[in-house]
Amino acid sequence: MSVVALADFGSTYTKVRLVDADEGRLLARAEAPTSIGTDLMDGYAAALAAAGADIGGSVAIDEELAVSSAGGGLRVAAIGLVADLTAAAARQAALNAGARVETVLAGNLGEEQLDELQEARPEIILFAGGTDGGQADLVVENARRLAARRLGGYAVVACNADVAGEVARLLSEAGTEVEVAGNVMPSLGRLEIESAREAILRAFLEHVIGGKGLSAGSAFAEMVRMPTPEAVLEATRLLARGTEAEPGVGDLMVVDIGGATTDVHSDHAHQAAAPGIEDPLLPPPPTLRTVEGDLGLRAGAAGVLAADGGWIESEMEIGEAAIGQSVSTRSGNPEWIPEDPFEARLDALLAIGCATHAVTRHSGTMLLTRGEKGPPTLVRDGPDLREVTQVLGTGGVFAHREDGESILREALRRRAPRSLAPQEPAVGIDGSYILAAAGLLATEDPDAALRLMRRELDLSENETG
Amino acid sequence: MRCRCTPRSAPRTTAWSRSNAAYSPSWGGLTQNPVIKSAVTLALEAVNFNRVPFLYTQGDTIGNTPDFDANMAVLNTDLLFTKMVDMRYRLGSASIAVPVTETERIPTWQEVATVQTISRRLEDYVPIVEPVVDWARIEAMRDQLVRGGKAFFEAAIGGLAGAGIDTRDPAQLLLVLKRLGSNRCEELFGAGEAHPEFPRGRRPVLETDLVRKTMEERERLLVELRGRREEEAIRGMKVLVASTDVHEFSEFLLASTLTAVGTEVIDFGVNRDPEDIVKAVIETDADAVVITTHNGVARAFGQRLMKELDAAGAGGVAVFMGGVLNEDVAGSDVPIDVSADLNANGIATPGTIDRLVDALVERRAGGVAA
Repeated sequence: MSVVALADFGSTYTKVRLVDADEGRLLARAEAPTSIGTDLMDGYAAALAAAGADIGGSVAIDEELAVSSAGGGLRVAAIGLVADLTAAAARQAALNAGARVETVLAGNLGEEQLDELQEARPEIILFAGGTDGGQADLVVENARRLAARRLGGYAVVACNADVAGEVARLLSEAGTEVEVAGNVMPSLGRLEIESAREAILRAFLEHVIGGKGLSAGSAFAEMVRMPTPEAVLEATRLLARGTEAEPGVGDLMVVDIGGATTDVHSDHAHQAAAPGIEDPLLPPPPTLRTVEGDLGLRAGAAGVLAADGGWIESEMEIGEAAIGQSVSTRSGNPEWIPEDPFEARLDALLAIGCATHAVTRHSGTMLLTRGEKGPPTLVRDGPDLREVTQVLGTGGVFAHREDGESILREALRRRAPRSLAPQEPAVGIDGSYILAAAGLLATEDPDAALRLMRRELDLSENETG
Repeated sequence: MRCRCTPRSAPRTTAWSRSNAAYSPSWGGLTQNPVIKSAVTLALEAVNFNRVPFLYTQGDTIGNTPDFDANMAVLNTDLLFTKMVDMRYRLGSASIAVPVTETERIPTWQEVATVQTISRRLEDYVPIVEPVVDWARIEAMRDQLVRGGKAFFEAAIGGLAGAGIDTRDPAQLLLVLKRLGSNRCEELFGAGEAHPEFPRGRRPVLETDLVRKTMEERERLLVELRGRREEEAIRGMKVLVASTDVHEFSEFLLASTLTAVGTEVIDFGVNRDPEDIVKAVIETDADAVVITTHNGVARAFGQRLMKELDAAGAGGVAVFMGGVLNEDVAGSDVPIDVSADLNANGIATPGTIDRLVDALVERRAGGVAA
């Protein structure tokens, strides 16, 4: 038996899963408060000891791996030229690397935008703009203006390949450490974010995670393989597609409702253009992560009320003021836990609101547009996920409540009429944060990671393969 | 000017053949030659196993020119053959007569009424002409098309089965073929031999007039342009080509000709709006934008494009428009030519691809960055 300790350093809790990697079996799980004030490894040691005690305390651990979102996660700023072309491509590359995208800048960078960038204090800047052989002058000018701020830090340059070297030189001379990656949009409408995504992850591991001052020794930085959301995205892709040895479950969506944000991850087989339907200028990638910064159960609760207040009030059969008071309590206290049925019910409705809006924004919508004189046209503004067969819920609300499945079902039932969100998926719950652990394990052994997910999420191959 | 482009029927027939549902074809539009058009109708009838009456046969929409009187000949010949095929082979379809003004503008109701009168009167001539037509030749063409259809059918069924599709399930088959789309179906399973210079990479089994004309025009332009020394002058110039509507052949002709003369073509495809074109210009730093339009929006489109380019600080890019440059304007019953408006807005309207190449050469010589 080969035992791997999989740790997830969260902002509040450090979760440890002990896994038999040969069998793809969960042996034990435990968590301890994240020791952000002292050394992050203290909390890990506590959680590891608790997990070890669970199985007799004498198991030898062969390997220790970790994901981390402690210390604010990975903060990235994306820069491009046109908002829904290279800037959107850069943003997606950062999101798919598991980053928190602090700001997205497009166009000719002005002083105000650069102030905004400086205030956002990103750990990595992803610099894009222009197709290969395309726009050069505006891209170089943007680099010059950015360099003038002498922000230091790290940058990934993923712009027009003709000027990427010059951009890298300008930024590097201004004290920024630079890696040049492939262009995120080498030609019009062609999204190629893998190279930039990998460069961001390299920068995260080599520079960012060790530089946060979260742990005195080197063990922490050596354990960490990726930011937590990236592990969930890896798990989503692996579970959907499978490995050479084992098939996946097919098109898949994962909804992760947190206190401050709601993340949605999906993997869908590549779709050819549908005749008669226009695609967006920049087609979405087959593996997609979106983050809704205004939808969450604690810090993000006010955003849910803004998006879905009417429905929540009618469901609670109670006035705006009472709900507002309850939401304020949540906003100011990330660790607050409901203690009566009223608050528990409100939490469930807030979770439904988070999932409803996050899934709608993640999925495309079929729009009927009419030009000034031309005929009406059907336009698809995002991915068509109607045939996604499986939706999974992950995150605290699903781990701690019994009604996770009905929360997800209700959110999916509330889909908007022209939404391209999943239509009739099976619904499942990741009650033990197994997705992040499996995404992490997949870096070492994808087959074991897939087996672990199928077993723990109750997705047997016969039912779904 | 309104497009009645015909759905390619081979993928649809492939799926229908797997169900027992009856299938009624209707078609027309992309073929001018009345003999080939008759053969296509008969080929569709040959695979119409349930003998469902044809719903309609669409009149010729591509043979017309700006000369409305000359278009009367196109109308009469097209309708006479359509009616002869219909009556001889007892298809039971309606023939749709296309007003002679249609390439240039939205027809008036009087013009629609006129072609109906002509259509009705033509029926008197069918019994006179039909017995002396060489139907054996047309039937031979029909057989050639049916063989092509069968080749497509077998390639599609074989290819899709190999990809794990249950080809006995008509719904699954229809869904997959629809998802692939007609262009991709033709690329993958088309019966024509592979040929890189044809649209979608295959030489058609029997060319529609639109393909034939497009390819002939392409060849003529290439021969002429190859002989000219200006070609060097525009080598590497970045030219963005797009269409305001669904007409892919004119866009193909522009993109392939401009590529052949050495410009670096950014093929932005069909159905583009001004805002998208401006975004593309910013990211690619195109030196010139060439727009082809056939849906009666030339003036509004051009005005909006120039306004958006200016607003984005890309006003220096050279803009050319061609195709059908007309539009409905207040005070006129019929759409009028808007070239002068476009020119006044700074959009060049060279009229032909040869002259477009001249204009690009001139533009570059004038010091435009390229």
